[in-house]
Amino acid sequence: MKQSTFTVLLMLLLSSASYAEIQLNATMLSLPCTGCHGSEGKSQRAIPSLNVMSREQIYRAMKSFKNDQRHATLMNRIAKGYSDSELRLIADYFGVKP
Amino acid sequence: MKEWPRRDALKLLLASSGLALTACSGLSRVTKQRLRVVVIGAGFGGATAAKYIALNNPQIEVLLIERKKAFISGVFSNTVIAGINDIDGITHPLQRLQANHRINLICATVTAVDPEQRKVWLESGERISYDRLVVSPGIDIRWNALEGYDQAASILMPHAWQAGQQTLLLKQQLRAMPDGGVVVISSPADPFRCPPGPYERASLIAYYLKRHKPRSKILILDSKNSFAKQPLFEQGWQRLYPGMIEWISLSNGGRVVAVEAAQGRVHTEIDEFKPDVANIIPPQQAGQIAQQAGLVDSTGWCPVNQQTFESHQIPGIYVIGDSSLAGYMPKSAYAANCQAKVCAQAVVADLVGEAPLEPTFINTCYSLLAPDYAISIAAVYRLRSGEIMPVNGAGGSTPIQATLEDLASEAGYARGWYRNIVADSFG
Repeated sequence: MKQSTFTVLLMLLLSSASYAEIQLNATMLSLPCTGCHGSEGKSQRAIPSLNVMSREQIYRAMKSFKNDQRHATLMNRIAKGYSDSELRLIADYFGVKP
Repeated sequence: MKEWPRRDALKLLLASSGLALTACSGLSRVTKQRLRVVVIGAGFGGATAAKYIALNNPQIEVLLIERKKAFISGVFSNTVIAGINDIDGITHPLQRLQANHRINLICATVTAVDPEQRKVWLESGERISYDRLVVSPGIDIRWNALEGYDQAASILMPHAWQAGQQTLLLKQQLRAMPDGGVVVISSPADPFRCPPGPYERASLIAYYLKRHKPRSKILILDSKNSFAKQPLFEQGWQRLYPGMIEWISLSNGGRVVAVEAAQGRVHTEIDEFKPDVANIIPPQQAGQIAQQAGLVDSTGWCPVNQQTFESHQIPGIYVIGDSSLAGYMPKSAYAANCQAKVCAQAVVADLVGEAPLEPTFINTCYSLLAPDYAISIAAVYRLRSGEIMPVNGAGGSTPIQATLEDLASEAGYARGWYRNIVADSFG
């Protein structure tokens, strides 16, 4: 019993480790955002445009949503889905859009 | 009979920069003819796929086949039923895709797919060849899955689950109903298009009735024991429409098994109802062309490689949106839009002999309970062992303790969301 629990834990650990190592492409990370924030991060209404923000502004906002240091209706739930380095890639993607 | 040749390929390739040719090394076919992707269905899935394939690689010829001239969205169609929006507000022309992205729009019905010859057949008898085919036909109603619920019955008891005439029919019936009447909404078992949709509909019908026919009642007859965002809906109904909406779960006998449309009767396993308005949301399956092309499995939906959306049944054909079996993603507009972008990348990569990139997905879904009161559910998804799975610790619904101010903000964001997803998909 103990042995199998250990095996399961080890497998979980290994799988999550390999999972974390997957290098994601900035475009593939960022395109899911544009359904809400608009193509190229240009929003038409209510939801903030991302292209007008700097890379650092986007990154800091996402980090503070992720850590619940800043209140939002929905972004806290989304930001928790990404590692810090992934948030950096997303910020870099939208931060340079015209 | 007309064939759609692909001979303009070389001309176009020569006209464009030489860079594309070197970037597409190993692409021997390109020298012969321009590569062509055909997309069937211009909903949130198909339109987005066509647009993002064109954006991703302008060398590829994209043909988008849709039988309707404009797209009428199921999303926000409940606001039309409630009278807080009109049908024009959810109708979106497709021409911008042509003008902005050089997508060839073909207004036609596809009757068959020939995967051997890589051709699709149109109702007119025309054949269109493709190098890769993307199929995004949405849902099809499973007629007679509920005894007596066929196309004729849907005129008397509208489903309004494919927006357009059906939406207006349900709206009309509600307008004609007397004060003190009863509206039945029959909600199907999973999986179906837009899981929170029946409950948003109940909310917005209540919004209309409260103002115009306040003695009326709404009865939700459900084939499930729980539903999406349930505590938030129930809290909202208590606050906004106390006593007006009653939900009968599967275990309380809520499952509708048959209708007698001409008599206006709705039958559950244990009871019979004769409502003033019956909105029957029936069981569903993948869109018709997916059935005909042999893309479905025994579930009635289309199994796909969840990294690329290429069919498990037929190589070279990709299925996205409501028709596909996309792991844990719901059948929603946002999911279709997101899947389309991933599929677009995979299709282009495949055509130029590259490996598909690792995808990520988001689903964001708002439900309006009133014009100034909305709730949301969201998730971030990744591929794990070939299956699209939600990321633990992320996503979820609006907190149950959210303030009225936040719920009002969510209603504003819901409208912004709608504008932006429409522009991202059709603009």
